[in-house]
Amino acid sequence: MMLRSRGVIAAIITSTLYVAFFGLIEDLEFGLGAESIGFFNFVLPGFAVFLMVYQIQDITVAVGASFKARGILKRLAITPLSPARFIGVQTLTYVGLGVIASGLVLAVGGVVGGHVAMTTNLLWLVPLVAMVALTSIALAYLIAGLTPNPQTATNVGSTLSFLMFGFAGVMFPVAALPGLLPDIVPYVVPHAAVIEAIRGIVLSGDAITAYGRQVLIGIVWLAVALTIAPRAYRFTDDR
Amino acid sequence: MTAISGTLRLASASTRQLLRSSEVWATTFAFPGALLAMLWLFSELRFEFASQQVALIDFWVTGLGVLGVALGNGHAFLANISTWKAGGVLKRISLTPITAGQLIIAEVIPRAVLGMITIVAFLAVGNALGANIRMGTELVSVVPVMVIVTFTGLSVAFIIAGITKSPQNANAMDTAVSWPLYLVTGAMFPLAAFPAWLEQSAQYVPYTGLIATMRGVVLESRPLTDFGAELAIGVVWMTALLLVAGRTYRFVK
Amino acid sequence: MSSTNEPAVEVRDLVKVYPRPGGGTLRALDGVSFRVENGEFFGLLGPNGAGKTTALEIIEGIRKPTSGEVRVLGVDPRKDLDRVKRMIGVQLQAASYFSLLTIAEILDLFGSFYPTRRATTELLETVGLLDKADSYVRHLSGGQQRRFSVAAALVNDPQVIFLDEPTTGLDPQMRHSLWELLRRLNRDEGKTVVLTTHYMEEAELLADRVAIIDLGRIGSIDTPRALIAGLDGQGHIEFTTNIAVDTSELAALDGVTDAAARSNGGGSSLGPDTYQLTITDPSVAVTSLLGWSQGRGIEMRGLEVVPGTLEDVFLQLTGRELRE
Repeated sequence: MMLRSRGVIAAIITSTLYVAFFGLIEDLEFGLGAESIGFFNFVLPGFAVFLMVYQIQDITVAVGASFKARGILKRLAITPLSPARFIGVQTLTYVGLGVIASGLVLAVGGVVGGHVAMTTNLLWLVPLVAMVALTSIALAYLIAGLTPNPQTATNVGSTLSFLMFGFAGVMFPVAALPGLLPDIVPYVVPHAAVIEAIRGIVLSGDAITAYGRQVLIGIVWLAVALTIAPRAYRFTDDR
Repeated sequence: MTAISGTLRLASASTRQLLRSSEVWATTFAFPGALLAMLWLFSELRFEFASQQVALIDFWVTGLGVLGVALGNGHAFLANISTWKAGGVLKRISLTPITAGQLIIAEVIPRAVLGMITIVAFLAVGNALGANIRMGTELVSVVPVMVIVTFTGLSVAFIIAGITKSPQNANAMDTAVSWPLYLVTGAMFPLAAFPAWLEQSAQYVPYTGLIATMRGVVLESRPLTDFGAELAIGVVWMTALLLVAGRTYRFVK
Repeated sequence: MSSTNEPAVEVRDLVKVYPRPGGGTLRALDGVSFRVENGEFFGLLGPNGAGKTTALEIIEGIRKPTSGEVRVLGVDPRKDLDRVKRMIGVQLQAASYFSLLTIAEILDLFGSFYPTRRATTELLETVGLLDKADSYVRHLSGGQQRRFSVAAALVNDPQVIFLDEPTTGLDPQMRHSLWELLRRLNRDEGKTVVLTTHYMEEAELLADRVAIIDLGRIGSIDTPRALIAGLDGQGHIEFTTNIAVDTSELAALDGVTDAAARSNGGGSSLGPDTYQLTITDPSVAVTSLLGWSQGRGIEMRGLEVVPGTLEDVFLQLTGRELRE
């Protein structure tokens, strides 16, 4: 079903095109106090994760909410299939696609001039991106399950994507936030901690062990999302 | 007289629907509000490019203010009119003496007014949150810019609704058209940071010149006359798209 | 304004051809001709895909014919569509209205499109929706939505009203309620009504004259009674028996042209089967059947003479059943 989805194919293509486009930027930096941060190198790791993942999330929200609204879930409720297994099977393909797409984006980013530290630590991106994708998909099912109709589901999903875009360190350095927010954001914004780890691995070639706390935060987010999603995305209203 | 009164009654009905629409409240208040909140939180950040520095909040309030109104307004409008086409509302209207032109005008007027209100409010709140927006006589110059922006955005919505078969296809096409605009119009990223060939060709993309005009007016208090070429390109786009919209958005096949 | 001698609707040799997706063409209408007199209630009866909606939409001016002529109150919709729109009211088979306007607001809005109009409260009262004036269309029941559609069709006080399958999908009670409304519009207000339907009872009960249409062609046009009277067979006899019977015996009886059995399922108090005899002459057939049952000692239950229906007319004309 998903592999036939034009949305998925479009998501992969547009992700790589966006990064190729950003690679055209010749002279742009973020200024923060006395510090300057090269724009493209900063955003490349975040985009490698975010560009595909938010689209997967949006597609899952839309499809999940639509299945619910159209009575497909009710039909599945009469079968022996459990919600957890249903979500799990749907999810695996998306996670795989997410990992592949992220790799593609990084590769394109490197080709168009972004800095990618070519070390074996890059292999850690596979489980990290998979974790982000899996968390996003679970959150998408959570949203689809808790919202009353597909339109509201899409709006809430877009809000979450916006939150990630702005505050997960995808687009802007979290360090630019005022007060205690830079310390709080990695815990409360989905994926913020993991993106920090990914940035360090991609730009500096850091080992995964340097990001134990961030990985742990990501695992907790994943565990919570995977626990709640099947409870929220029920086949029937009978609780 | 019947044509005018029919159009006015339609415009009045459109306004009523606009005010009752949750989609409109989301695109007019919720999303811009969230964006402003985010920019306020990142108010220490600036763009540095081509020996210039611009505060992120200044850059995005002006750029996304223009584009957000155009595309957000257009997107909500598109959802409406493509649903009308698919759901039989247009077919029903086609059986009355009302013409497609009257319907278009009646829908566009309240949306244009809403667009004006939105941009002024957006600029004002941005200013209150720390953006260096000039809120004096500069606002008068903003009006013609936003007229062009709004009519361009709504025309695109009519065209997309006219050529697509379902609200879902319309939404997909709208997304495909809108997203590149955020990138190549200078709304989010300074075109001066891109290669010269891109910077120059982007001037002919809808909204690019209008965004530059908006920035020049409200950030630097420059007069509209400094942006003759940009405004001319904007007017040409608006006119062409309006004409295509009138031909494309039919009541019935 | 047209002359009162002009028919309300006149259609001559109407043809509509569509290209098929895989190649070739589809003749949705194949030389349809009929006329509707002023003040008449005219029915177009046919199954789905017969061409009823296509014909109606061409008359209303929202679809162009491939060839043929149409006049509404003497006016050709292709030449003066605006004038036609002012004179007609239309209830579409599937129409939507603005979802964020109340039904009163929609009627006010639609009324403002015309030089003359009926008052919104009067319209809502006519269709029995005055208490729902402040409701959105989506909050009305199916039957109420249909009645609202009829109200919207009346907003300009039209001379001719076109209704495309107005009762499809409604339960019997709602259907009867809508029929009552349509009868009042025709008989009390003198409106000319052109209605398409695939419900035989609807055409029989409401229409002064019915045109049977199938596969884009008109089979016959006449009053329902005349159409039924023109049937080769004059109806059916139905009954059940205490034991199973060979239908060939029944088909051989005088006045009977055909006999069929329908199983009642095991354990029915009616007996094993219900028998349906197609008859040419009710009195001959009943006499013959009574004689047969007495001679064979077979007990008949629930004997019923069912007169011919438009469904029988349709079957005779087309060889197909009206309901698929």
